[in-house]
Amino acid sequence: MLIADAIAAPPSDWWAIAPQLVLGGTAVVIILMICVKRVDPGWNALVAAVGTVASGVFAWEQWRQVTTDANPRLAYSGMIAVDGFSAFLVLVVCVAAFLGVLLADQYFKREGIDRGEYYALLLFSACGMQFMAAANNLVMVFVALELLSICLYVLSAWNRDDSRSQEAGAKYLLLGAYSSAILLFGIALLYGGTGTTNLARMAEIFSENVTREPGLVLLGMVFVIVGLGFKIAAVPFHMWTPDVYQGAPTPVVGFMASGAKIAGFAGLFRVLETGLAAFEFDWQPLLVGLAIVTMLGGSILAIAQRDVKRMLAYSSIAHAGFILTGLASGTAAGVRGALFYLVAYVFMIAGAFGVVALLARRGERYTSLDDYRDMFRREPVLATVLAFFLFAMAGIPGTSGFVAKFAVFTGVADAHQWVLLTVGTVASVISAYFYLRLVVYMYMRPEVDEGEAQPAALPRVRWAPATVVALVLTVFFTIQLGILPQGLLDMAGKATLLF
Amino acid sequence: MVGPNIAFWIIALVMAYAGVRLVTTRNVVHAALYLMIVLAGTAAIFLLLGAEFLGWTQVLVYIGAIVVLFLFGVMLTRATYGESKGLDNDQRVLAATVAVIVFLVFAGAMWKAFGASTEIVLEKSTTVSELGRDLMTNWVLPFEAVSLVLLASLIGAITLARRDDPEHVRDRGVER
Repeated sequence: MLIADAIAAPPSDWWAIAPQLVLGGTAVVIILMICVKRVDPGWNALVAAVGTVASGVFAWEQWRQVTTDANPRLAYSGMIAVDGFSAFLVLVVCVAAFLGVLLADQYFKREGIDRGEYYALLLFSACGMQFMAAANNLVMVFVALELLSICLYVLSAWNRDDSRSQEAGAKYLLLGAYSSAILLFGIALLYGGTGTTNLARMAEIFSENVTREPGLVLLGMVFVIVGLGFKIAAVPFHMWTPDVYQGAPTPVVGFMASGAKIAGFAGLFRVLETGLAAFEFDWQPLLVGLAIVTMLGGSILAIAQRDVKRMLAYSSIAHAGFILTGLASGTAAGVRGALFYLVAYVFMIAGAFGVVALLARRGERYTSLDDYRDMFRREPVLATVLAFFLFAMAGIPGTSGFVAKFAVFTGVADAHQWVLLTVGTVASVISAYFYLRLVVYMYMRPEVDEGEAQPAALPRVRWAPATVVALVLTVFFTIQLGILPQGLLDMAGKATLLF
Repeated sequence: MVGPNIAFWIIALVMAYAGVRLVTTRNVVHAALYLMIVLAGTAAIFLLLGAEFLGWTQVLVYIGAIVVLFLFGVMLTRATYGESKGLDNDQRVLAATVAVIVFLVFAGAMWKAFGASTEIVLEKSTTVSELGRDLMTNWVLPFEAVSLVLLASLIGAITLARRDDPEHVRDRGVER
């Protein structure tokens, strides 16, 4: 009985994986370009940027089809879903990768570590994030998570001659491997409890009410939440975040903070809302608890930080808490708000880390709060841009940060979860303190207290075109989403409709 | 079904002993060898359950590659071969407590789910040809994604380990 009967392969649905294919293909092209020594390394960033845009075009076309004529569908034997949710997040990943490429160019030339492999790994990582956004099978979730994480471990350690960067890479690798193992345990338990790893099939099994092992499913659910909670840096799985964000090269942090969170939340949303929707009353309290400690923990610990990168790391933890509240509310409005928040957060965090990368100068020497003293006089434009992002992250009306928080809290109020709402509001107020403190340092604190070093007199920061484009884009969308958010809110609303 | 049961218990006890020794020994090379026993035991259990392909993959990948990699790592990083004192970090009690709790939770959940069950879940074991066919049809997308993972880790490992020749990376950095 050899291969007499033809193998019935599932039809190849190229359209379903077009954005991922484009990103992976571009990465391979960049590797080939590195082999050809005559190609100037300056082209790598450009090719990478074009690749992310092309991938975004395919994702947009997917989005247009899914929301208008064609029905959402599953592809490749249910491995990935092509629906509003996946197309929306795939598009957001393209944006994060595009900004990551633009911000990296000037930085790595400045540091003298401009190796083309950086862009290849960044694109592979983004490809993993897109697979994560579309994954409808727990095996796919795991493989996508490994693809994006392994690239990020390497990117964190990119500055090999800097011990801080090495430490960041090693720490992220060890703790990341541990969290992957926990996720894998969870997947194994869910498989043991249901006999399938396909999330849509899992939901059917639960609706037919034939599960014999709810204990295994619940335990598996907890493990999956822990494993993905590590990736989104939710308290108490956040220990790695400050060290890694502080040590890794700043453009990498900008990409990691936005992209890895998108992927983590995509996996979490999909597993809980599709596969384990029947267990909503079990996971909802868990998420409420996680959201509360994450918001409070991130905001309170950020106050104690004297290093700006570390402070932004804690602030990103707090943001993860706000996004979690949207999911924890269990309402469509809450999930819509969380998706909107993710987009707003990508622009804010990429922009903020972009400015910090410029101000840190060669070797990332100037990142402490004292180095930002009187920054407005020395770098008026950059100081104003950074202050703007800080206001946006604090949630000042007129910026996307305000609309995002408002959208998430609307969902929470719809669900009548007043504790969550109160804690969220309190955490917003606490976080406003440390954002505004940095603004005060930049604008109103020229005098130096006794025993503190005078900020060094440095030549003006020079701007490369790619950086200008990235910062203009992030500022533009942070304002635009703050003033005219309805378009994206509608998109996010459509994205909550799963296949 | 007595024979396989006796075999299972012997393998399980050997594995448990090796597992404990793995974390208590003060010799890195011994630890790697104990790890090999644990992994070989896992392979043996797979074989007992009729999962032949999985069992031999376990032997090839884990014993053939991973443990050898560990030993090479010990050799190349010039770690001490003999007993080393600095391997403890004084968290034995905490670690043991966590391990026992995790074991109890897992064992409890498994026992509750399958403990009383006498039903035979699989009538016959899966053949390699069925497995390969499934891998290249239903599971082809994760299979290809794994190859991306391998490619990315290769590139990452090379870029982190390679010594740059000064010509290749042009230091165009200026103090900005």
